[in-house]
Formats: sequence, C-alpha cells, structure tokens
Amino acid sequence: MGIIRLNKNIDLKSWYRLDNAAKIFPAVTNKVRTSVFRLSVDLHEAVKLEPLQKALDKTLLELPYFRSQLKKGFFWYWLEPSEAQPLIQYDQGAPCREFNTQGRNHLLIRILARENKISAEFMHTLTDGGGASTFFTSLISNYGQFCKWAISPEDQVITDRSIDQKDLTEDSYKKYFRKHIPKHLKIRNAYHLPFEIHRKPKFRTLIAELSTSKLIALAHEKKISLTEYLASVYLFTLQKFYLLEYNKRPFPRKSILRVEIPVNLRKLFPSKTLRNFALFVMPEIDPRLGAYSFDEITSIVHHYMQLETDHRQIQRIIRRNVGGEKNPIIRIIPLILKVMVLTLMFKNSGPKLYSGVLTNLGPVKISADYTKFIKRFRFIPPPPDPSIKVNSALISYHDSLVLCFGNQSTSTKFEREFLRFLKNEGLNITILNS
Amino acid sequence: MSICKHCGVEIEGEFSQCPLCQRPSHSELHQNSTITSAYNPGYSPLSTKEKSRLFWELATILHFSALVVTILIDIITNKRPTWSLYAITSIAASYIFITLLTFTTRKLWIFLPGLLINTLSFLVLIDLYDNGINWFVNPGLPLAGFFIILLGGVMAFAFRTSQKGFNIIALVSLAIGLYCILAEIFIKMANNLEVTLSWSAIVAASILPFALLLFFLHYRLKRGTSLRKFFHL
Repeated sequence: MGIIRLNKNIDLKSWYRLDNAAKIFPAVTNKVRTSVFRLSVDLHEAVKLEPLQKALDKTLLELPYFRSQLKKGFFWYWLEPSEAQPLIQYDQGAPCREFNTQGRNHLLIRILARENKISAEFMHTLTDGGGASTFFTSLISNYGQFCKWAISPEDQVITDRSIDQKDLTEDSYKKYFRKHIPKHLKIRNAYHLPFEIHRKPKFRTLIAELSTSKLIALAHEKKISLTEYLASVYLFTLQKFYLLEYNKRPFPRKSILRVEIPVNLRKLFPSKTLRNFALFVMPEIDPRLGAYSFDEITSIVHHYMQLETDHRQIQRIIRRNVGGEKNPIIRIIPLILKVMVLTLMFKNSGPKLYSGVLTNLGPVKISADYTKFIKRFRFIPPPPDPSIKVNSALISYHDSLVLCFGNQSTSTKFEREFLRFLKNEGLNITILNS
Repeated sequence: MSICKHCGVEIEGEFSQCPLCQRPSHSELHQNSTITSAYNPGYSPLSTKEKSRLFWELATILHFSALVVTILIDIITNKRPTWSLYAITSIAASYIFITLLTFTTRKLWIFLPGLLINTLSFLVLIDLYDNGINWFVNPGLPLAGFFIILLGGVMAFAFRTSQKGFNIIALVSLAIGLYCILAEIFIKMANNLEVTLSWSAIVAASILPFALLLFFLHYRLKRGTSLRKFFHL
C-alpha cells in the first residue's frame, strides 16, 4: 500500500500565492531544519485503522486546502490542489521529518498512527499551529463519529460548513497590512545556548505532562498568564546557563536573552484562515545589567507581552514583513536568486535574534463527549535551528498539559533545569514516551 | 476485529498483512500464537544496501579467480607475463569500476573522480604496454575526460530531478551529440587533419530537435503547468 491514492474529482483550477510567513520556509527548509511540526492524540484504546482513513477522507473533503501541494514558479512558489488522497502511514522513526515537495502530488501533511496514538504532521508553508489545530481536531471529531463515540451536534463546530472556503484560505497578512505606518524597530542578536550539536543531525524530543490547573494556579499567583509564566521559566533557565558560561569572563556582544513566542493573530484580528496567520513577540532580559530574580522576570515578561501584543504593534510587524514582498524590485527577482537572498536573510536575522522558542497552542477545543476516549494531546514543535539548539511547545487538554522540548544538541541540561524549576514549584511532572 | 502486534492498531476484516505497517503477521485477538507464527517467514528481506554488498562480494570472487587463472596460464605457457598484462589491467579496472558503482554512485564527488582516475590509469597502462605513451595524450586523455564530465552532468541532473522521464532521455541524447563533436575534433587533431566538423555535426543536428521535443513533452505537456501560476508576481 502506497502513501497516496489519486482522487480524480478534485478541482485543480484554484491555486494560492504563498502567504508572507510561508514564503521563507521553502527557501530555508532542509533535512535538519524541516519546518515540520506534529500534533498527536493519545487515545485510551488502540487506533481503528478503517475509521481513521474514512475520517481523513472526510476531513479533506471538508477542508480541501490541506490537500495542497507546493509548486515552484519563476518568481515565487505557489500552492495548488493535488489529486493525492493520502493514506494513513505507520508512525515509525523520528518525528517531524522533511517533506518531499518535489514533483507531483506530494502533500504537505501526513497522518500517522501507531498503537493508541494518531498523529498529523504539517509543513509550516501550508499552515501554522492554529490552522493545523483546526484540521486535527476536525479529523479526531470525524474519527470519533466513525467510531460511534457519543456524538453531540457541537462536534460539527470544527468544520462548520457555513464558513466559505475563501475565508478559510484568505491571506490574512495581506488583509491587515497597512502601508503608511512605521516599521518595527530592529533588535540586537541574542545569546545562544553553548551545547554541542550532533555531528550527524539528530532531532530528539522530551515530552513532559503536567497538571494544567496547578500550572495556571501558579501563574495566577504571580498575576500573569500561563504562557507568560512558562516564558519566564524559559528566560530564568537561560539566565542560569548564561551566568555559568560568563561568570568568569567578560560579557560577549550577544548577551540578550530572548524567547520567541508565536502569537495566534486570529485572536487579535477577525480571521477564519487556515493558512499561516501568526507573528512573534520576543520578551527579553539583558543579564549584563545584573542577574534577575524569577519574580522580576515574570514582571518584565508580563508587561512586555501586554505592550507587544497590542494590535497596533502587531500591525507594525506585519507592515515590515509584508512590505518587503510588495517591493516591485523584490518581486521581479527570479526565484532562484530570491531563495539565495532569503537564505542569507534568514541566517543573518532569523535564529540569531532569539535564544529559544516557546509555542503555546492553547487548550484543545473538542466535544466533551470525547473525554473518556482521549487521554491527552501532544504538540511537537518544528526541529529548532541548530544554533538555537532547544525549543519548546505546549498544548493542553482538560487537566493534561503536555510540554514538549525539541532538541538538536547532545545535551539535555536545559530541559532538566527547566523541569527541575517546575518540580521545585510543587508540580508533578510525568515524562512521556516519545 | 484484530490488533496488529507490530504497530498496535485495530484492523477490520481479513488481511494477510497489516495495511498500516505492512508486516506480514498480525496477532488476531481471538487467534492462538501457532496460527500467527505461520504468517511469519522467519527472515527479513535484504535491503538494497545489503544486496549491493552481496553483489560486490560475488564480483570480488569472480575477478580474483579470473586474475589468478589468467596469470597462471600466461606464466605456464610463456614463462613470463606477456598478453596477461592487458587482461590483468582490464580485470583490475573492471573491479575498481564495480566497487565504485556499488559503494559510491550516490556520492558523485567520490564516484566521478574515482572513475576518471580508473579510466585514465587503464588507458595509460594499455598504451604503455604497447611501446610507450602514444595515443593516450591525444585523443585518449581528452576523450576520457570529457566522457566523465558529461556522464557526471547527466548523473547529477538525474539525481536532483524528482521527475525522471523524457527529460533524462533528452539530456543523454544531447550529451551524445556533444560527445560526437568532441570525438571528431580530437580524433582529427590526433591524426593531424584539418579540424572541420562533418559527421558529428550531422549527428548533433539530428539529435537536437529530438531532445528539444522530449524536453517540451516532459516539462510542458506532461506537467500541465499554467503559465499564469508559473510566472505570477
């Protein structure tokens, strides 16, 4: 059995220009930096293969955008529908492996199964965590229906047929682009963890499960959100490594400790799009000014997040990002040269600007009827750039909060230090089998 | 209902192998272990790498045997190596070629220089056995060199392209046309003749439209790419 079948009933006329965030990924993607992320669900029972395949077929009919393939043009890449009807694949080997985008009918999603776990992997060119979450919860809802789990009408909420496909595939960056506002200011390069990278690239994950309610309670004690709390732990842990490294040496130029936190812009701007519609805010501390206590970091992160997630500030970032691709000179450069320029730009301004990543996909919205069948959800971030070494992602489902660290280095010291901090705060942590 | 014992998913209906992980046996929930083991052949098929290695080992035995037999017959009949030098050199070159082919075809940066060195060494030795260096410098060296360069170009293209079809045939045809031109030039130079293209120009001119037609078929008609999408700004 191959990976795909062909569905000759697909409308092949529509096509999509890549959105602003998607444009960078085909240029900088390789076997190490795959730009692929994974959503999984752990069930209480073994996965049923036939209902899952039916659920996938149904979900792709409801959300046909996910049947897109990447094509290479003379000036830009584009997405167009594929005839491919993907089959469920056996989940083996490392997660988040690179997609083959060359040739025909190579989709940018793959659905995998093994034992009691269903996973879906997405290339970032196609969608972001928000869009992927919609697809995945829709898939699981359909799977639940085919498995005859208790069904209530609210299960239909994920794939609301009243939503126009045009709204689901709109480029919301362009919609909210405002030309005549000042660009976002440039920032300095950030500190990177000093761990060694595997000689042969190897992406490892460490997945920990915590209690959502207890973590929220800890965050509320500090009067901050859960994301702000974990971002503060991230910065505090980075600071420990930074001070260990530079305690006896002069401070280097790259001294800023900065965590990149993706923000789902659908929460700030009305949008139903399944395509990328996220930007980053990057709270930071500068330890050259002196070491920060955890409470001080929580305060900095909280106020920074409040300021930077204001829709006017976000529009400044959209202005900077989208403004570049609207430049007529950039538009007429052939793709082969654009790729070189984008790769160079990414190397000089991408991962150099932050020390780590924390992605919070938030709570999964799925029918309450499914609770007795679903143990937990997992979210594995795309393999981090080797210079960053470690990144992290979290997702919650009822009282299960799953925190996943992606790591390209030979050391797990960062994860251990991060989790030790949470343990010392009184949280019970279970390390899950990857 | 049954659960595959390898990938652990539940499968409806009867299957001789699991539709997900493709393993031949799946432990039926209501089956006993004796029946399950009947599906298991007890060995795993060889991987491509293992098959290549096996082929190379067989080639080693055959080449070594041929080498020994050739030397023995020549020494027994002539009391010293005579004609066997040609045979030994050919066997050695063939063995090195097979070794390169087995282990390095996906590593062009090793395969092509290795092939070049092997070919040139073979040619220079054959030339040397026959009253010193004569034809090796011209046309042997340039013809062998250009052959490897063209072969490398075609192989690199074939490895990089994801859609292999008429485009490969077209490229090989173009490479043959170009090689014919080069062959005529160097053969005429070696024979001190005036370098004017005759037969090779006819071959190249015949090949060119054929190659262009194949490229057109492959990239324009087969893919059905819309120009609007391809050139969108």
